[in-house]
Amino acid sequence: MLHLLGIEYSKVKNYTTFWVMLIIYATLIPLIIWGISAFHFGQEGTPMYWEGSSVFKFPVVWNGVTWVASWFNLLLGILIVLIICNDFNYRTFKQNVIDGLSKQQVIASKFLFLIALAMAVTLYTFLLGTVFGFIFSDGGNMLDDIYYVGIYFIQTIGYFTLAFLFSILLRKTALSIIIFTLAIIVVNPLISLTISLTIGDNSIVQFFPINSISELTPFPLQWLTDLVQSNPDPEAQSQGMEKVKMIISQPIRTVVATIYIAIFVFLSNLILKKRDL
Amino acid sequence: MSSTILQINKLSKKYKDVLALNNLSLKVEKGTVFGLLGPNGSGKTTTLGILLGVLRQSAGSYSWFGNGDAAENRLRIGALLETPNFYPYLTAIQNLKIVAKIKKIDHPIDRIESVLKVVNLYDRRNSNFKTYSLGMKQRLAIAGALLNDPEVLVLDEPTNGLDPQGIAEIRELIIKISKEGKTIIIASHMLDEIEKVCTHVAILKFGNLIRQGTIGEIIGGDNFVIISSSDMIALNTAISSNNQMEVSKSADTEITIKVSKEMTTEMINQYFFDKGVVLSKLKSHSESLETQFLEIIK
Repeated sequence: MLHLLGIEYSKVKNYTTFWVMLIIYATLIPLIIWGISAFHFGQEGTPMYWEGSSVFKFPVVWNGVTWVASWFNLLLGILIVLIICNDFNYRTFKQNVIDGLSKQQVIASKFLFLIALAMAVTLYTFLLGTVFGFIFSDGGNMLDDIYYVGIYFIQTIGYFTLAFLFSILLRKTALSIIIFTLAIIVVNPLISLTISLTIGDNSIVQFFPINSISELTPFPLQWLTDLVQSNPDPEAQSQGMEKVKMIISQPIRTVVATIYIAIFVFLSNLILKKRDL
Repeated sequence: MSSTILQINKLSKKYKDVLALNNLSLKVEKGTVFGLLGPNGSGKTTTLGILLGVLRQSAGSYSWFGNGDAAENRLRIGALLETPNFYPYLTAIQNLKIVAKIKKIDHPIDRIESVLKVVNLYDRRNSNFKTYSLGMKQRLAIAGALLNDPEVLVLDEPTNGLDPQGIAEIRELIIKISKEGKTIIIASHMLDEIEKVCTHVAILKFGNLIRQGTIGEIIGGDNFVIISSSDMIALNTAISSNNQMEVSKSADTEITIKVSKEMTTEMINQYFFDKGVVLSKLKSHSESLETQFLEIIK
């Protein structure tokens, strides 16, 4: 396994584009967190008051930091498309097989690399969460919502396996990047919106592949929950809580996302098995 | 004693409606230099692609070293298929390091530097692959194939893109490697190259094996002589009255005749002189693989 990871690492070690994109990712996230933390609205002391830094206090910070990091999953997905399509374009998948890897090993080495990269960026968001958590709060109950870091890992794997599927289906770098990007930022939102408006709620579209993966790290709603709970009318409070719960039915979404990941992996393998490299 | 390096049994490859390879059976013995010949689209590269694991056969089987089609077999093979395939943004050394990792070569740097010297790329070892000329790319691919000091070398059109000097160097290299007792399989349409280095030949056409044998068996024992005279009519008459001669190719100004092996040019000259025909041209022309090849694939 380390042998295969070592081969993949040699491919990107001196690949400038790879490192530039990672540096962009690693720089923008803390900058944006900084920007949000300086933001506030409403009258201080009223329930409507909201300050950006509240999202980066322990333990909400795990939700806040992964929410910001998830904006850049598309960028990382494009990076995955790039390194997979490179191996098709340069015919190096073929060459790796000629040199002595089996087709299964070639596929496995890419999957391993994809998992390793997901682990690296997850670790990075964990570090960011720790740092910003301590900047904006003390360490009390810091680990309460730590599961968001695990969920972020599942989310990146979701984006990566989808990028993997698009890459091996289309093989051409530019085409794969365009279709992968359009699917996420245009086609899926458009279809989701149309269906939501038609039936009146998001009960169906929230189970769409891209939605269930991208909504794994929602906007931190602690503030909204607090606001609802501060409502003196108990009936309005319980109705409000129902709505909030519907938005953050996290465990179900995690299971659904994991099922989609399994489907992406299964389909990718099926295509690679049927086709010549 | 010879042992079998490669055994191919009834191998076929079908692309949608094209039969690229039809029922090919071959055997390559250790230490031979095996030439796979055929015009474009005859199935040479398809055959090698299957043998190297990048294409799946539609039917049939093959076995390297008596060990089937396992991927580990390829760690003992050095191969160059179609085009040189490397990462353009990496240098020769960085690219070969990846090959070395796949081949599980210990202490690869020494080995990498030595093969780069063999193919004359050592001076450019730290240049990116994308800056190489076609010939340099081809030489790097050959360096990659030599990297693990393989028992078998599989070369698909190895002299593609090389200049005459480069072609001569690769030919010398192939001869040198074969003298070390290694087995070499070459696919090519450069017939004079094959003729100079190969011990065995198989000829493919439209995916079918047309002939195979040692290079001597394929070329055969006939001699060819090109003759000419000011009196072409008398010349023709003299040829037809000799049963040891046969017209192979006839042109206005010269005739190529096939003669039996025992006939020397001196005997031929004497024969025509006795018939009263004075030859203005007499040139011995042993049949090349090329003429035989063109004859076979007709």
